[in-house]
Amino acid sequence: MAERIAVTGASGVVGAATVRSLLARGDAVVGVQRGTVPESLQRAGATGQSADITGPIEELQRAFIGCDAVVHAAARVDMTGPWEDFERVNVHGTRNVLQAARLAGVRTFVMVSSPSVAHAGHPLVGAGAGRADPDRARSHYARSKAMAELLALEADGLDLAVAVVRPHLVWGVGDSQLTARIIDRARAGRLVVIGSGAALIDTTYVDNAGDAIAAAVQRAHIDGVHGHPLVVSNGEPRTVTEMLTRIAAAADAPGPRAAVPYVVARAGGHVLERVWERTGREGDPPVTAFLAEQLATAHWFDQRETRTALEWTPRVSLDEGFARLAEWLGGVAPTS
Amino acid sequence: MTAPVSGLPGIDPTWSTMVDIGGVRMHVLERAAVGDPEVTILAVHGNPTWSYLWRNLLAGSPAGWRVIAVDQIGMGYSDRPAGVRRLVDRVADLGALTDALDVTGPVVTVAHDWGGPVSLGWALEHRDQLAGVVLTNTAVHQPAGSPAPSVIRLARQPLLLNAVTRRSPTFVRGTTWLSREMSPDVARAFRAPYSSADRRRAVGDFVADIPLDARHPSAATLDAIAEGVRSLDVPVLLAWGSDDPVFSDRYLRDLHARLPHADIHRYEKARHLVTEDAPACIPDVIEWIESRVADAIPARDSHAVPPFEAIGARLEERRADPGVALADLRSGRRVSWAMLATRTREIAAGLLDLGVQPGDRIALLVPPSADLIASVYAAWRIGAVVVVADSGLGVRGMRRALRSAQALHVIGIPAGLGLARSLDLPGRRVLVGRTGAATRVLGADASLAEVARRGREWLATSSLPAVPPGGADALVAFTSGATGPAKGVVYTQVRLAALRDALRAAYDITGRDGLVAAFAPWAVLGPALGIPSAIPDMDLTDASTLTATAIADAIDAVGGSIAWASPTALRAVVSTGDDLSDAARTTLDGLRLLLVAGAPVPVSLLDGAALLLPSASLATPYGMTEALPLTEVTLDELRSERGNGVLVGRPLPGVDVTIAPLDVRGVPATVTADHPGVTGEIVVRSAWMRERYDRRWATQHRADSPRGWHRTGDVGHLDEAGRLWVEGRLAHVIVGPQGPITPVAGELAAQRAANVPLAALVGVGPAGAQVVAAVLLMPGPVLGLADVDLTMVVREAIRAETGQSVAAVLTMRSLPVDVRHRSKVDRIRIAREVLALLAGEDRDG
Repeated sequence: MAERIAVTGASGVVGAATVRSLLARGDAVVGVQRGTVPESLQRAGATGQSADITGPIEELQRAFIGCDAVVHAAARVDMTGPWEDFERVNVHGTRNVLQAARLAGVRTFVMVSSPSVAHAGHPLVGAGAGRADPDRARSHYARSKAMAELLALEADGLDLAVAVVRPHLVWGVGDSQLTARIIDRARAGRLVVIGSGAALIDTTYVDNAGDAIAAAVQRAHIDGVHGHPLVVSNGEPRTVTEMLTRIAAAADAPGPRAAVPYVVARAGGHVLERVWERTGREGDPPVTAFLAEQLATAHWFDQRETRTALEWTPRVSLDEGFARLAEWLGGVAPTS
Repeated sequence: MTAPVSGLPGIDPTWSTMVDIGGVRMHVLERAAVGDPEVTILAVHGNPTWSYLWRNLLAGSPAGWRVIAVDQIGMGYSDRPAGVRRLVDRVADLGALTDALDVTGPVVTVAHDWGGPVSLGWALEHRDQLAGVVLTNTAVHQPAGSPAPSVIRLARQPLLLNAVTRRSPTFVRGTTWLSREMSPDVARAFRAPYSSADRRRAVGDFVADIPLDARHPSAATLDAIAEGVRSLDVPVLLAWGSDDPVFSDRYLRDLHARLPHADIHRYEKARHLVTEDAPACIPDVIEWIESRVADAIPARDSHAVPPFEAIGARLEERRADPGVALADLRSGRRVSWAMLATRTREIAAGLLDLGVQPGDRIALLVPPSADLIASVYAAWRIGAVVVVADSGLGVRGMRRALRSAQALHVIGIPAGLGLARSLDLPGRRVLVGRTGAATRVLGADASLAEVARRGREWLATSSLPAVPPGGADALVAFTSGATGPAKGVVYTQVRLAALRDALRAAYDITGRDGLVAAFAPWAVLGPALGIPSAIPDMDLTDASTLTATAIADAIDAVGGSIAWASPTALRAVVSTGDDLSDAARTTLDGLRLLLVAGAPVPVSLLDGAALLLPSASLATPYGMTEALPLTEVTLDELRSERGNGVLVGRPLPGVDVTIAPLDVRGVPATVTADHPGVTGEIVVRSAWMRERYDRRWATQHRADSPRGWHRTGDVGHLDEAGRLWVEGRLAHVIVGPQGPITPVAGELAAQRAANVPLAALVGVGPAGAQVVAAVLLMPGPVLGLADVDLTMVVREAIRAETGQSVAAVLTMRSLPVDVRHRSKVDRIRIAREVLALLAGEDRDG
């Protein structure tokens, strides 16, 4: 049965993919965000509601009224910046969205989280989801998302089923974050690997992330889905070197040119973070300690539980994803 | 009162109770049975441990069993009454306890260390109830002529006794040090009841109660028990840690002599606390009790043996034949049938004269030669058991193998006797080679020449006894140890005879054939088959030194028609084919059969051999130390067929092959199936397979399933034509989210795609969620990533062949292989290294 579903952060890469998946399934989608819903989503059939997740609850509540479910994909995702900003958007924002959803009588809530909430910096090799741990999180982003996830899980109950989905390293056509940054750097000849470049990492092609979240909306009331986090990935871990090389190749750009020793990258990251923080520079530094860790340490996941719980399997394989990326780029530069 | 056992790892505090046994309280861990107990397990610890030793026995036993583990008085959390508790008191304590606990019905005693005599004392007084006995690293008797364990002797020095055992926690700590594997938590739990000198008093008394001489107050009790156990007729399991500095193998030997019907499982690399060092020990004990006591399955009976031609019959027949029986092209020595047969009889008689008994085990540490062959057939003739630990195991592996086989005597070259001396083998030592000063230094009783001379004299007045029965043990050989320590494999006389007959039938061997033993140990088979053999001129320790010319010379020497080579030797022959003279080339044409065994043989190598040996049919029988040969396959099939794994062909007549299908976790089923295309553990049966594993009851129990069959530890499938395909080792199966993945097909695809001689497919990650990595043997770093282009080529090739998408492709400068064949890839070790590389950096790294 078609449902009406509100999506916060619908213009972000994961939010937009979710909207597409929901629309394709025949659901009615309300994009909830500060500005207007992007034209592309409107064309695809989504409606828009203007509301700020850090603003008044009433505004959000109005946007959610009449919705069967809320997908909360809005978040601050930058690598640097003051903690207060992350806390305001990711922690308080999530609390607001949860409260507004409940006030609006919504029965289903899907929180888009991140595997980094449970990553203490050690290699994750075929790991399970693991409990979010703000105290051991490795960045402002990860800590704030961990706190947000715990808030969401606490809200899981008889009146509101809360599912938490953690898509891992989303990339693909339309991604202005990870994918665009890699390509920009590759084109500038500045793409490097950190450490051996041999760490296996899981990634998620963007459309698969959207499908998995849509599946979570549909199945949130089933035991094994609500109340505990599920990591989502393509289930095809690859080495960092291969992922960087093939994303770059899709843009006809050279792969990693050099390897930076891990300790150097991590130390450099620390320094740059501080510089960025002290000087209040815009945008992200070329490397942060968190990024160095992410690019040098294995993190891939056991997907059996997720796939059984969501009755979902990735539609787009990595190979297919690289092909789509190459077609989309067609040799034209995307810029972040 | 409840003893303070809560919080100790592995213990359920509800197990703990105090039992009054006539004014003294004994602490007991007891796990009750559901319903009336099928059997009661009575477990007794030694000194200075406590019932904690048996926690996994309580936790793991079937619900229908009652399990009682006691703390002996003065030990653990039992009371500490005044006065010394003698052995006789301790036996009485145990009886009082079973009365107090109203233990009725069948009982299996389980004991460790000095708990052994105590539990056996109880057993002898409760014969009507006794259903089985399990002993782990213990003793009932000080074997004659040997000192007490040095640790005990040291602790018994009067001054030291008090200081070591009581005043300081040294002895208590030392015992936990007598283990290789113990977490700090567990070590603390072992020490918990012995926190003060007062609580340790009995530890010292216990040591003092070990009778080191006949005047000791407990000597008579211990002697009575030691003699009494000879009359036990219930099933007995001796579960033994191999590396125990206290109760070494000599005590195992002593117990086995008293309890010859005992099942033995010896745990390699486990020390005194075998239950801690060998995680399999307690589960094995439970399995043993289930099968031998609870289900009352009798031990294997190998007495009913059909009539057969004795293994040395052909050799004895030719006692007057002046023709060449063995040509050793290294020394140029030719030995006639007459000489070999006579020499064999003389050595046989000489060994009897030296006191060697039927059933005695003789380690033969002699390189392939006439001396080796004569010694082997001599040993077989008198019913002794030949222990062959080949140099392929490496020196440490050989030592371990000889110790595990408990060879009594040794016949060896000086290096071999040196090895035997360091192992302190208790029997006779016979030196092969030059005699003189070395004889004394090496502690040799005689040289082989002297043995033969004494035999000649002996034969002047006596004749050799009847040939041994078919069920008698004849050979202990060792697996290559590619997966864990080498395992001893026992063949009986009749099984060796069946092997000889199988070779004859499978390869149409007649008296007109001659054997070129390019894998030198097979020269030993020549006399059994009744055909002459030649050892080519080569360095026997390095098969790659063989040449095509050396093979031709060997053929010339004995009219060779059959050659038996290892893949490495064959590679060396093929690569030196260009050096052959025309005459030698013609000689090679006389070879009608080439057998290549020991490891998978690439088709390209066989093609090379076919060019060199145009008249020879090539046989690459599949088999293992436990059973060989099992199958046959033609070169044409090998050339044309491709599938999941390596085609090894149809079972030979007399061989049954079936499959134990793997479930989704990669575990083979207990039932077997013959449907084509089903992947599982390969299970075989033939008259010439091993009789059993040596002193490895649990290994044997599991391999013998179904009963009378052999689980090979290989995985594969049968095809529509009934042919067997080998897909890899069971231990190397990768278990991904969709189920098991066998390595060989993907490896072959990777080898072809990357044009490399060897590749390994390994799993990375936890079983059930593993992803696959392919490792290519290529020049470059020790271990590194293949470049992305090569990665994609190899991934596509593997996907096309197996449907699996590998996560990563790596290269290795050299792949770890087994010592013996240098061709079996150690995928477990590779997987470990690959896992580390693909894990990337640790945050602290």
